[in-house]
Amino acid sequence: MSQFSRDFLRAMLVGAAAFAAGNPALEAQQPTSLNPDISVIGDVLADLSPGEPRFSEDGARFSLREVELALQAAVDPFFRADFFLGVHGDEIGVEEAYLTALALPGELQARLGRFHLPLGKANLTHRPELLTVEYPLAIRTYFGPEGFSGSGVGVSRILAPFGFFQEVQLFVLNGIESEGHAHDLDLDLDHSEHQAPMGSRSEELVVGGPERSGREQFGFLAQLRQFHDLTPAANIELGVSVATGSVERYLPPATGEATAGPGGPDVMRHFPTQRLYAAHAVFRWRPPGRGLYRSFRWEVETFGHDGPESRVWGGFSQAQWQTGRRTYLGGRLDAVQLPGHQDVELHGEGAGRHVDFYEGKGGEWRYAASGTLTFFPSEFSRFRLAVERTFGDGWEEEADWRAVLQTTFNIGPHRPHPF
Amino acid sequence: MYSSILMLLGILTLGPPLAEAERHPSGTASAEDPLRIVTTTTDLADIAGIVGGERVDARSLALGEQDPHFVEPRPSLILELRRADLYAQVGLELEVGWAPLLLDQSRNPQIQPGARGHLDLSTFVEVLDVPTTRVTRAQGDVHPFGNPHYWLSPANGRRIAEAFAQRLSDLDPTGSEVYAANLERFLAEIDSLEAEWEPLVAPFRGQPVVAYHASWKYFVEFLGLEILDYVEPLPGIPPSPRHLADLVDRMNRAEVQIIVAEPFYDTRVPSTVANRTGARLLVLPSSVGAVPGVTGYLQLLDHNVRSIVGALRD
Repeated sequence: MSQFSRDFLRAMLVGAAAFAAGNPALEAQQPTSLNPDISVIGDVLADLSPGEPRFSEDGARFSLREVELALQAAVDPFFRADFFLGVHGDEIGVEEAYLTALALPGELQARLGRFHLPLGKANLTHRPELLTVEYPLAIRTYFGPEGFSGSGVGVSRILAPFGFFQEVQLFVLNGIESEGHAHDLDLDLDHSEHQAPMGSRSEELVVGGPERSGREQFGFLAQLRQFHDLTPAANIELGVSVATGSVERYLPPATGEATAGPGGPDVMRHFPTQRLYAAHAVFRWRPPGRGLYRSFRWEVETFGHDGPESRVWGGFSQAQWQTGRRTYLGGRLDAVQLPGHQDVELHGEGAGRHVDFYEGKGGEWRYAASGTLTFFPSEFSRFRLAVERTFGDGWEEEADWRAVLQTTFNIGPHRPHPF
Repeated sequence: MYSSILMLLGILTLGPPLAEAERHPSGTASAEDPLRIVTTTTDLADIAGIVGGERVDARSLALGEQDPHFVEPRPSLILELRRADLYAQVGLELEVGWAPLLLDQSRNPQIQPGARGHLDLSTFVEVLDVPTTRVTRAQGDVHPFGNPHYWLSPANGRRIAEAFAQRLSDLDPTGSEVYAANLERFLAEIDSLEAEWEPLVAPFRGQPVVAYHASWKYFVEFLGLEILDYVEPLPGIPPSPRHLADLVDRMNRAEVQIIVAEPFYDTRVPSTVANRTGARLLVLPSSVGAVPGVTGYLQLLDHNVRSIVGALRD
């Protein structure tokens, strides 16, 4: 944990403790206080998988997967600010931090900062608040375990030309590769170094070629979603999203086999275009008079990944049935086609060094079927038992059955996610 | 691609504005072009409609049969808010789980907190159960600023109507005489109903009752009855067998005759308690529209007063 992380965490906790210290005088001031809403969510996993633990990221039976600290408040009459900091093990990361402009003309709303991106629906929800323990397989495969997030600016507008809700969102981003945890698609020099037999920083690949410029510096994302109330109890949301931008890849410095003399570049970077597509449909049913006890939600999402190495797709279908005031049964079916990837491997040293390029074409299918039983002792605590069976091309040696007990708890006023 | 993005941005930003910046800048609401009032609950919408008359179009985000704590912030509700001239809420964090989200997404600066079009009616009423000690979630889903179910007191119904009349006059000065006259008529109707209710409830003053949730505090206090306890051990927390056994014991000793619950709660548990104690379970609407026939605020109060008196008489 860095010194900054330690100091920051200490400052946050001291501040939160001071806020919540709870003397009557302080409480009396709360309605007029200028403190932001402070909330903390804890997300603890007890891995029940047969054999080796397969759910927790650190391979332990019990793990504090995440602590999410949220600070939310109006900045002034024109803006509000939302900060979501994730603590994973010894690291603190910014999951989301953005400013929302509430008073723009023309019924526009703008957002500036870092946020989960509206590619599909499930990606917008923070991991501890998902219907399942983890993001769907397609999101994990294409964007990483914490979903698809990015930095930039977005503008949205509500349209209702036919009387029902429609929203258009447009984002300009720093590319379209997730800023979450590293994942399969993040080909970078760190990845290459792992494959380089010499492995030391002094023996890194030497990359030549131009830096990003012009439109290569940006990614673009657009989403159109519409929402219909079918009856007072039932509604449906439909949405389509598309994102485009360049990604960094490598070419040999000269045609033929990759070689380079001392001082010359090992590889040349280039920026091919990558496109992402998503479509989602969410059906919800909650009878108004019995809404505390009965509800049903069914969601289908598909993702397309059109990258320089491959054109693949994936998706999922999940449903959740509320059986009582505190209990829910859920299930999800996942299917995903693995994306292609580029491996760059460095061999030799000095004048003898050379680079090999491997273009994995991807396309193998992987599947997962999972079920969940969720119990809420109150609105602020939740226990979830999840079982998952994974299978597919080339997955025999990996996890087949996984099981986990997830415990999630919240203190403080945590603002709900948009519907 | 650039051109496509720019075209979309152009459509977004240069398209016709979907709501006028100030729909009634000079206070000129009328039956043809009424002030749009959006309230969180049906009770507030009904009172606003009574006070505003034909000069307003008052509608509610929540349905009467819904628990107002748990309304889904559906995008269709954003459409209601984006063109509202006045937004009114119960406040005291009754709607904290859904209304702030809708307000943020409404793109309507006229109804944001602090604006003239934002009316928090809890600031006009007498609030009960305001915590005097430290509040924590160990006390259940407690409301840290007091009990928000205040509209079930006729005295607070008067204050709500007065607040609407004042705010509507601010927004639409040319209609102030209409609003004042409508308010006067509403207050006279409450006075008249209270005079009718007084001899009905007088014989039962001081009698203990049990409620499912803390939502009946104001109404029971208005009737002069006393709440012995709640079926919920803590707000929002389902009862444990131990709590229910203790409750049954205390109800038997106090000879409690009625248990009051809203229609949106499961009646199995309070029915069991009623069967064990000989009390009668009364499922009463806490909001306008929660049961058939209760279509207005005054009807709501009248229905509930007569139901409770009838049950106590039996």
